[in-house]
Amino acid sequence: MCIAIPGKVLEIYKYEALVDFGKIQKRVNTSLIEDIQINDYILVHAGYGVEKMNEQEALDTLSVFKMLCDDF
Amino acid sequence: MESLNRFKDIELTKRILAKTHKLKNRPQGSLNIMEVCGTHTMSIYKSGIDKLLPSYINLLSGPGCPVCVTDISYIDAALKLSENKEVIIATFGDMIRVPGSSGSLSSARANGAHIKIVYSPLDCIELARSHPEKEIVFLGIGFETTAPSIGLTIESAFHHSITNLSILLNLKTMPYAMENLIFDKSISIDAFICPGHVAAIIGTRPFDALAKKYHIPMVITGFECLDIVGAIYMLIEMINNHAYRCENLYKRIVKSEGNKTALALLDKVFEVTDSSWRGLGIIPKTGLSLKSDFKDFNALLKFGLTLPDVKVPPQCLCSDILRGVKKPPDCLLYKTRCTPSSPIGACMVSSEGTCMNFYKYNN
Ligand code: SF4
Repeated sequence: MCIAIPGKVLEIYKYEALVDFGKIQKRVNTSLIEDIQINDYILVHAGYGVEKMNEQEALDTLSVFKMLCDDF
Repeated sequence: MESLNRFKDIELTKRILAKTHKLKNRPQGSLNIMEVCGTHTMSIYKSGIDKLLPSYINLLSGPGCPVCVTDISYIDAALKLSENKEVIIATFGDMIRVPGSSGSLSSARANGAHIKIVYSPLDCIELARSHPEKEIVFLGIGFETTAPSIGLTIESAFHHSITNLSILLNLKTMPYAMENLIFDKSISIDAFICPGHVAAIIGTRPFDALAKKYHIPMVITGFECLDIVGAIYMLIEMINNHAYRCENLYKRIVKSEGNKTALALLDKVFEVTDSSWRGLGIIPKTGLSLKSDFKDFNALLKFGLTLPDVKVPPQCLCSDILRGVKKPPDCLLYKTRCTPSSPIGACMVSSEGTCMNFYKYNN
């Protein structure tokens, strides 16, 4: 039940956004996320947006994982 | 976002696993690495990571499944409430099959109790509006990840003067529960895989403080195979190097300060209290209760309920399973009297429960 799923923001309302999860689209409470923009990816749990995905940090972590294998 | 799919990269995962097997400078003896998040438990068993690691690495599942750590007394209180014809109980789906001392919410529903499965506590606002003649009670269990959604629900109900909604609250918090496990003499934990979505709310600092205080390496990580295998590799290196801190490999979501807006909301609605964990007993400072401004939403007060002291069923080893001391096959009831279709303990009910995952992926 702690599962949180990423989705793409399609539309923004006052405290909510319409989020695309691939198979379904759902309105999600976004009042705990700042500066939300259309096309952002957000992590959603139990009906609310937990946090915005940071693409640059994702790429940096992928490089850390690649570096782990570099000398192998 | 293309980068998200790259965390599912099997080739890279295999390379890190191979490197883990070939580590020359490996620590002496076996290593106990504990994860304390039900979603990590699910990912580990589903992908078989537990079977692909060198044999000296022992992955332990801790008390990371919120349904599993909910006391029987809480289920009994919910069952008592379900006898009230004025009440509609709203709950996450996993809760309804958890056995109380006599029956479960699922059996109560079959006998006519009003029990509704909701995806979010926020759905209860609409439920309360559309049933003004009923009392809606949400079963508010979960960790720091779920607490903000319950906080938002209470705030909204308060703001809109909704009076027929209350919460049977049993929110728990993780850092002091981890400290409790560190103190536990029956298990020696060498490193922790920290719960990524709890960290998204509370940040990295509480884990870093624990790692430094007790000299236990920790890594916050995501939920794909690459995230988990990468975290395990990093933990072994940290053990080797005596690196006692918490590394964050989930920076795509987790900020060191956490989600400040969510933390401010939690601070507004809740206060810290002690909490009773199934199998672990009462752990100080690991629960959240409603602040006095919001006491009208407290279902225990509203319905004059108490949580009776109830014992776990004899022979059920949930207590040892939740502390990583035993594995499901050590329980005499596992696969004999306790199965997913007829569970005896909560660890066999939830999709995040250790016994359930062991049953599903080791058969
Ligand atoms: S197998 Fe069933 S009875 Fe045994 S510890 Fe697991 S949940 Fe409890």
